[in-house]
Amino acid sequence: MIELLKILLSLSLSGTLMILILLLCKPLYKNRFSRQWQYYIWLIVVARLLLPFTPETSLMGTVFHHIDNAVIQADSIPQPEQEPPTFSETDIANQGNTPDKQAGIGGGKHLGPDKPTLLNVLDMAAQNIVAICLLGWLFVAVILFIRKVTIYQSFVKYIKAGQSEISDFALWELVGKLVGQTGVKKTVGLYTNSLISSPLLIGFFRPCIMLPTAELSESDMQNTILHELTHYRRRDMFYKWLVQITVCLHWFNPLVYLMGREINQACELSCDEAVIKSLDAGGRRAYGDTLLNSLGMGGSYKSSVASVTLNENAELLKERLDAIMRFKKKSGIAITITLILTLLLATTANAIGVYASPKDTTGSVLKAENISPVTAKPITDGPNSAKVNGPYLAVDSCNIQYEDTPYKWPFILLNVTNLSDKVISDCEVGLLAYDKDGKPLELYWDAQNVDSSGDYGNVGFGPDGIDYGIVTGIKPNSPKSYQWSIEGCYESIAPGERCRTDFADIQNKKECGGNRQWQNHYLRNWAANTKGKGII
Amino acid sequence: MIQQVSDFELELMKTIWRNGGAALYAEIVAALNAKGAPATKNTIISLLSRLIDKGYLSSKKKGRCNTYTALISEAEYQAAQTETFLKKVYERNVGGLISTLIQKDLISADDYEKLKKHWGGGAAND
Repeated sequence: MIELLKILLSLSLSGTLMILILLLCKPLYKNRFSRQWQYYIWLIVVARLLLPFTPETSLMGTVFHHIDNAVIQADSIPQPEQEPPTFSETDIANQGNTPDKQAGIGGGKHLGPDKPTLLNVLDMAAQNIVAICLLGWLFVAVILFIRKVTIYQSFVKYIKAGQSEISDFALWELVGKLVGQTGVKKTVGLYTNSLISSPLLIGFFRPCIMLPTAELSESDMQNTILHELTHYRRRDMFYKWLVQITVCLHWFNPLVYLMGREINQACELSCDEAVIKSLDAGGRRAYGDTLLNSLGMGGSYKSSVASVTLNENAELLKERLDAIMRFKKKSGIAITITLILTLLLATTANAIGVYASPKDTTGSVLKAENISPVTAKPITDGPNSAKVNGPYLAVDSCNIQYEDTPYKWPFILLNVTNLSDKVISDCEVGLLAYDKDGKPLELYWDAQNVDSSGDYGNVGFGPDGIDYGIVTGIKPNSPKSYQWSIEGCYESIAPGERCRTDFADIQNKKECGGNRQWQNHYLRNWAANTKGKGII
Repeated sequence: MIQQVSDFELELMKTIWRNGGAALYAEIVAALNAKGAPATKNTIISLLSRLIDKGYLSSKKKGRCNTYTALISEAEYQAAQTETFLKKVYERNVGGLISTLIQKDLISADDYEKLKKHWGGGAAND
């Protein structure tokens, strides 16, 4: 869940960077590059905002992992650098795991099953907040999009209601001629509509040009129709809807609205450019006149979401007129520079990247939540309690596993079976750790959960898959090397192959009820030194 | 009551009526060209589909071509148009219409005789 939120935020953030780059560079390219480029270059930004593709190393990946690590360090007590622990070969072969060199750098959070710590509560609260954030985001995005669609639909309905047929054969023929000229494949309808203030084209599959009035001079009419047909030929309304979807998904990002406005303006400017490309100087002036004339037309419908209109406001109009007067064919050098810059921007967009979920690199990694025995239920003392005459628990399996990157901390997965017909309500578990040279390893647990004695605390043994670290360099009889206890047990689920590892087994270098010989000869020393000192 | 159509729409209808009440797009284009009144594809297709909307035509895909079939015959159209005209201009005064036709020599003596005969025959049958 948190991963999804991170991906979303990093998409928005990297998109924002791209928007800023384009906006800040605008004075540099505004009058130098073709308007068409200035229009379609935004597609790179839109793609960056929508597509969570990212290279192996990216800016966003680095940034977000730094944030992750900062959060972890804030969560745990900073530890001095430790030698990476290693494990007995037989032990490792048994688990099929490869020990990770990064293990043991920081302490894991301990979430005791019976004692909900402050961290535990905070963690759960954080998860809830993430879920609420994601739901809220999705809710707003969907509502915004539905609203846009319904506004568009009611706009189309309103427009259709106000339309009247054109019977002027000459006008139809003008449209027919221009349809052929612009290479539009579809049949284009033509209507006048007294409700609109500017000419527009609606319909994805049955395009219709709507004119505020049919009383236009022939050159105005020709330019207007040419402009609208060019919009249709370039599929501008698909682009506009893509932008609308992007804006809806990134509604929390103020810069996407700015982007939407920029794209709309660039759309008109590049459409103008496409139209006047084929005109001579006189034709261009006439086109400018058409733009000016269209501003004077009256109409009542103001907002038109995602419809393609010929004029928007006076300010944009001024820019469009300027652009028309400044228009000249681009030189080869300009085109080359444009191409290079496009590639550069595309590369930048790719390099900024997004946050990607950490990948499984070891192959033996289990996600922490995967080992949570969901069906386990806490039990308490009662008439059927097997508190006396234990032990009744048999160890089914015990694995050292590693958490996902970036943590990679080892944790023990212990499956036990209740051999009795009674309820087990209290148990102690001893844990011994040593490296491949037989040197005892200190079992490390979150210092915040250690009892006031400093030696005895709860480490992760619970239904929720808790991790803990292992550190080296302590004496064999240090209580930290073996003591490990929790209050309360959880019923085991599947009996499986029953085997029992008790203290006698440890002393006899056997594991799991004597089925397997312990390989490490240092164990004897350890057992001799620690026997009766608190393990049982 | 049938809807009004524009001049060019009527032109299209006439072409289809001449063709036996149904025509392919290509046949319509050929007929218009032969008449010396060519039109662009966009105009023809747009106005044909407008005629479909108005209930004058139906279209059926035949292979890759659309066949346009008239739903209203020329006689039906003429009758409806005349009725409208009569109502609008002569306020249902048929005599007034006929007298205009005779006064302006819009009806030949021959036609007039035929009309009279038709009128008499109709009365005799009553």
